[in-house]
Amino acid sequence: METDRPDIVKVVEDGVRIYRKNPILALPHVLSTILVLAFTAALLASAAFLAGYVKAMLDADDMGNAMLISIAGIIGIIILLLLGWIIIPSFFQAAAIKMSDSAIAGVRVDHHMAFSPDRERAIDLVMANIVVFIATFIITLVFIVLNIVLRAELGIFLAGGMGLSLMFYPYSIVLNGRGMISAMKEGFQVFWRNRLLIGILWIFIYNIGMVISSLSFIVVFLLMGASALAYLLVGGFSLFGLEAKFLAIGFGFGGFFAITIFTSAFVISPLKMLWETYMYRRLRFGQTD
Amino acid sequence: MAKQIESLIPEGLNILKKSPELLIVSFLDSCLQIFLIFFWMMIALAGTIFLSAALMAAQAPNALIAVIVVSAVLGYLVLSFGISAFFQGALIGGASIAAQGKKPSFSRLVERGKASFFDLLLASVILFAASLLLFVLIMPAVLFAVMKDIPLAVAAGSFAMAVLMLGSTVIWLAFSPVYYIIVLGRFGVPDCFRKSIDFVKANLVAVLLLTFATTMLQSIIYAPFTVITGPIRWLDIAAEGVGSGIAGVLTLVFFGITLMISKTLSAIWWVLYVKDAGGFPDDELEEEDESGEVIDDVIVEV
Repeated sequence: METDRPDIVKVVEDGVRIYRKNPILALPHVLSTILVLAFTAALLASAAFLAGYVKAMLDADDMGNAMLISIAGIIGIIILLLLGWIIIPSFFQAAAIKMSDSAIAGVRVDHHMAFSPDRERAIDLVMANIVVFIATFIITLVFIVLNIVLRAELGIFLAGGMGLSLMFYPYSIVLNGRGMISAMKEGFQVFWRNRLLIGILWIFIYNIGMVISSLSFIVVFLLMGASALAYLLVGGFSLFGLEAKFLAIGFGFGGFFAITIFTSAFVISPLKMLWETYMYRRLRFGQTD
Repeated sequence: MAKQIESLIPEGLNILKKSPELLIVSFLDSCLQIFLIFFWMMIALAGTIFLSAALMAAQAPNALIAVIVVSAVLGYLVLSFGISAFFQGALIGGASIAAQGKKPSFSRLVERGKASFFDLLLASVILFAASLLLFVLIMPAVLFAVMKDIPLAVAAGSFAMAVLMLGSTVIWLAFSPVYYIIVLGRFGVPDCFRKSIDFVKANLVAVLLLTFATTMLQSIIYAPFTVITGPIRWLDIAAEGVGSGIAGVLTLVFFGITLMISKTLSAIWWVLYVKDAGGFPDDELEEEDESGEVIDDVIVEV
């Protein structure tokens, strides 16, 4: 199983080169982000509808039913929200890994691949992601308690270490056809045998994401400055339903939100997946093409 | 081909174990910086008390007081940068000697510290001035905000923030290896800045990796210490203030140790990479006798 170890600089450079040749690799990430946002918006809208319904019940002094519907509604929406946030990205994750793998192997990738994940693999990935989410949730709680009791800062490092050790199970499921438990075992083995290399890759991915996000905020600041300047030069006008004097604030809040999602879907997520796929292929199969 | 980043980590740790002198250099640097802060604070305090009273009694103009204050600040900065430049030269030079498999004796460390002193001082002052200049850009926005001209303050502030973010990123990235290039490549100012930009262009990913790794190193080293300092605070339940007091002292000690190790290890990693990727030659080392004294004339008998 152990193969020659790749140079991390080459992994990063090759990943960027492959992405520049195949920008379509961003498609599954963009689709996933749009669908998750739409799903979240729909659930928030239904929560608002439910709130109106509960208010009408309270107005009619029907306290018992109002309480019951509120509790059931909140629990239902949280469960649906969590399931949606796990299931939707999992299907696109399976397609994205396959696309990245093909691009690394030099095979032409097109947009059809984003909509046709291997059904069996995608379902395995959904199940694995749900299990990992629950495990992470419980372990994070334990770490938080440990942090409070010990007053130590170890929790975040232990949680980070756990995240690292689970980095490769999606690749093992999609690219190696393993089942959930077997993929987790294999992913952990790949991590443990190359922990220094993977640790460095994780440090790079984590920090480069922060650098790209903060650099993209420059655009937001320029938009804010331009809108304030336009207000000074032109005076009263409105854009996107916002009065000129509130435009800078709108660009500020909206811009930070939009740019974070944009850079994540178009730059950070596709590159992260390419680098991880590349690393998995090299460490597991010893070749990239 | 340049060294693999992964191989630098064990190699750097090995050098650190074999050359604890490098740790002492970092330790002395930190100690002197702390001493300078206290010393300068005492001088500033004494100066404020005695000088201001004397100046006020003599009805000295405000400009004179301002000149004295600015001189005090500049004096502190020059001394602080001077200490930093000397020890940085010693640390980088020492790491380079250790990377050759030789012992960096204290006489050699002092020699290396003196060799690039003025170039390192000048480069650090220039970089500090450039960063400071970027922050000055924010001042108009503050001024407009004070004058309650909010749209103008928002416009000026937003543009200043954009320039500040871009400028500080460029300075942070393009000149991160500049001190290593000065010491290892024996470049002066301004050639070192040009060489640094060329080096970063040619090794962008590696420079990013090294920068990220060395930035996170401090947190990684410090985290395990919190397992000791954290539970000690529970002693407060038995005796008020005892736990916090002990934990406070231990935190200072552990933080000092962390700073010393992370600073030295970062320097070693950078030296190993920059020397290899930049193609800088090994130091030509003179022979030393057992006490560490440099022997001037080595006579080889055939």
